[in-house]
Amino acid sequence: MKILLVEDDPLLGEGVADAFKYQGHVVEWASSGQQALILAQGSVFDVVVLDLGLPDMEGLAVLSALRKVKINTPVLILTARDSCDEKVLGLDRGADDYMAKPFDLPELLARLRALVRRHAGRVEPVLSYQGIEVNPAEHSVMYQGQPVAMSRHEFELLSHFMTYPTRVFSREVLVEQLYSWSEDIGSNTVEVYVHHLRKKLGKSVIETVRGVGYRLGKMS
Amino acid sequence: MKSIRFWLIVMLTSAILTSMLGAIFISYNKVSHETEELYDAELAQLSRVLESLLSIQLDYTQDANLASLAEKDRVINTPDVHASGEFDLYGHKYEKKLSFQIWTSQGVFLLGSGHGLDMTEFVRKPGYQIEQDTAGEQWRSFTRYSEPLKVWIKTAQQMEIREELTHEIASLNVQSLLLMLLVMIVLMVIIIQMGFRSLLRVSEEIESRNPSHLAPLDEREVPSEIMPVVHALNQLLGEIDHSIERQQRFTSNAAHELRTPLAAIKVHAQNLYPQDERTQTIQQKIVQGVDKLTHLFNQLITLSKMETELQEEGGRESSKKLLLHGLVDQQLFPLSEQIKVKNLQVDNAVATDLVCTCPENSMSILLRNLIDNAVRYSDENGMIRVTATDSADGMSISVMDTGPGLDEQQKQRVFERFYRAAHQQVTGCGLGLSIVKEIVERQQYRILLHDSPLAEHGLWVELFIPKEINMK
Repeated sequence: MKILLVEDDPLLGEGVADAFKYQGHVVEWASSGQQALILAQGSVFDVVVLDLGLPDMEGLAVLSALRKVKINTPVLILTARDSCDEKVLGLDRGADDYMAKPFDLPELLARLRALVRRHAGRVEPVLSYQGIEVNPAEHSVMYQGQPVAMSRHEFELLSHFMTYPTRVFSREVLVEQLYSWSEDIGSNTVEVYVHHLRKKLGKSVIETVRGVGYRLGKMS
Repeated sequence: MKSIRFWLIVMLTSAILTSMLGAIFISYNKVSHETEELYDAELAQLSRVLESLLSIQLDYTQDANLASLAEKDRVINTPDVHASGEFDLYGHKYEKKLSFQIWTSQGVFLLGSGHGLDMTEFVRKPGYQIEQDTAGEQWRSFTRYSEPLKVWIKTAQQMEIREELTHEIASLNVQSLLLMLLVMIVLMVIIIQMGFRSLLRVSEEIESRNPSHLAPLDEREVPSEIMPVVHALNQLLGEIDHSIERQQRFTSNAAHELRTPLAAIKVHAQNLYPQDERTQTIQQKIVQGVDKLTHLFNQLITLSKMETELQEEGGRESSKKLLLHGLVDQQLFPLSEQIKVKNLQVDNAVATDLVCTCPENSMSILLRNLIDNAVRYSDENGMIRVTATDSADGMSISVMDTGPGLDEQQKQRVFERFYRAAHQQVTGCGLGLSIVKEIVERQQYRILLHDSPLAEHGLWVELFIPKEINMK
């Protein structure tokens, strides 16, 4: 999944970004409120991790600004302010979850998975579609009961398609989903990963919609 | 302590008293001198009346002369006054205190009143003098020699009646002055009280100030004499208020500034994903260290928050009716992981319908620390029991464990900040029981440490909430 991390502390920000990348997620890291707003409006994120005490504006103001421009990405507030009142305030202002620093990394990752799952309207923690089972927590894929080895980008692409099984995604959107803006992107990368997925899970797993892009295929 | 009001009343009263006594003394002297002069003049005038009457008498009776008069020996005896009063139809009782005598130049008694000065005595001494009669009474006399008649005329008054008038006038004076003094003292006390009212109001205002009420004093109705004091005090109050605010801000800033690096250390440690056992142990140690630091830090923040809350609310969080059983369960929940790991047998034996009237936040912190300690210090397969009993005196809540317990010396020191009993293998920061003590003192509860009845060693902490406090 693609995560927007808003955190002004370089040491913590780096640690959290590293953790997300290690999990195979794509991270954009903003260290100020303004930067966060620019990034959030520039591309689509699955979830936002938001610190409250930012140097240029309050985290809650960033949250309000996001909601105002109809960006309804789930937001998890990650802050040093741990009083009950502040949690209530944050949640009531539109945040979807709240965690106090210092936190346990596995818990943060699990909460983010839960947020994305709920946002997509799913209840089951494992994504399954016609014999394919994707487990985001374990980062594993099963096809017809057999484990399938996948690279980071292949896994990301597959779970993205499976999170939104009916949607059609353009090539540009998929590139964005797979890479942060700072990464180097090859010319026909999406085509390469689609090709790999078709090889591992059968030709019809990804359907090409001519002139538009790709979507999850109807497998017989 | 010196009271200015008392001092003013005493000093002003004595000043007025002194000046009035002076006034009384002067007026007494003046009055007595003036009456003296009046009486003396009267004596002289009476002697002239007698002289003129006698000369008329001598001119009128041809044959009469002084010798024939002397033979007759006229003594005019004043009749006794019979009535009980001062006078009756025949005279006045004071007549006996007045006297006149006429003598020839040879010293023969011609006529006079039959009382008063010794009759046989004849003194050729003109002018005013004070004499004594045979009865010992003092008289003021005026003696004069009449040249044309060749007689001595003496008029006299007893000193007693002369002084009586002076006394009367003086005592009237004293009475009115005393009355005036009384009225003045009463008025003075009232005026001083009124004058001090604004001062008293200021002092009451100052008395009502405490760390939770640091509003500046109203300077509008302050008397100008103590204006500098009130002004300085207001400045001081403002500074105290400001420093309390700064302390609170510091606490919340420290919270933010410390939590973020702690979180960073933890994240980086958890990012290690160790490949070998040694790195894994090191990673665990780092995470444990951060957790311990976080615990210490949270306890410090709790203490500091309680202190600032104390200042903000004047010390008392409002009480609620709480179901104790549920409150204990709430504290047990976050510890369930540790309880499972240590395989502890935890028994929340508090009756499910037992209601405790207490401040929720303080009671939660209190129970959390006691139960957390019990879990922390319990050995594997240990036992923890929480009980509560409600009696006529109050409510007693007990937390018992089968940990190592505390000896008598440790029991005495365990409430000190950062004190840790000698079980160093257990992580802790030595603040839990200080926090407990802080709450216990503030809420006027009592806390007792006994040896646990559950096993041969272990601690039994008994919290007692007196009835009158539980009812509040």
